[in-house]
Amino acid sequence: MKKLDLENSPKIQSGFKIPDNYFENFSVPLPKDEAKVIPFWKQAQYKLLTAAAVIAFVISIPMLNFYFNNQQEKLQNDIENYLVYNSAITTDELAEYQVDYKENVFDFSNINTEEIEEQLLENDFENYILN
Amino acid sequence: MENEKQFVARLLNEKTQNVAFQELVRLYQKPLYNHIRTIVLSHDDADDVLQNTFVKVFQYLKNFKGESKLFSWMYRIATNEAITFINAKAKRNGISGEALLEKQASNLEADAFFDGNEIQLKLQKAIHTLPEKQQLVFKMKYFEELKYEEISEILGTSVGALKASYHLAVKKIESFFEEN
Repeated sequence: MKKLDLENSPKIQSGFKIPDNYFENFSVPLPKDEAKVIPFWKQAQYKLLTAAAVIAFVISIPMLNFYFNNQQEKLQNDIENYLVYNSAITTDELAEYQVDYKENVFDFSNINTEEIEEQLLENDFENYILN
Repeated sequence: MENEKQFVARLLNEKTQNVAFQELVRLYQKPLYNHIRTIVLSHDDADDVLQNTFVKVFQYLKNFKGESKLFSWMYRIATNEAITFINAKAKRNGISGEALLEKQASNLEADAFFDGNEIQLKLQKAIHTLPEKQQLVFKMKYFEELKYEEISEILGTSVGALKASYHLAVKKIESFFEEN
């Protein structure tokens, strides 16, 4: 059999037939955009649901506020209790605290005595000393 | 003759859309039918898909941006509709779309709206052994004689890939003829 050469041999048609007058009789009914009708009970349902959602939201605000405040207070208490009762502070933590403490403590050895005298003369500290 | 933009404007205008849409149907029914028929094979299926295509065209017309030609846009809708139709039909039969088309192509002799000779029948059978994309490219290029640029716009594939796809399809079909 002779080899088929699709590119260079005469075109082979599809072989499909179309019924007589098909295109003459073909029509497409124009789709209409119909406005959606929402039944009354459904409208009322939507309104009720919206109102319920708004009320629930409004009620939840003070409740949430109260809850978060309580949480904060509880956290503060926990920290205080920890600081007061917790004895398991490691030596490292203590050392760290002491280093910080030293940095913040005023070093009296560096005070110039002349400056102290000057301050005492300028300000009246008598009342403080006597009382 | 009015340009495409004016025609689309008439289609979107409530006062003129009825007449414009009937005009659109008259203008494009033949090329779109041929395109759909080559994909779905059966006349009845092609008729259903053509109806759906025009309905979709009307529904989505307001989304038509004019970035592509109206013709390419409608072809794209028709292609999608045809493929969706075939896949839905195949799913109902519990097979793949490709398997369904292969089965339909081998039964074309029994179709009242197919009067092809032995070679035409063999060509249809050969086409339907190809993967879906190659089938589409071959049908659009060989039967519908669309340009690569037009096919590219419809299928969203590069011209280079289309040429390669078509070349492969031709080789496979020629081999099918040799072997059968």
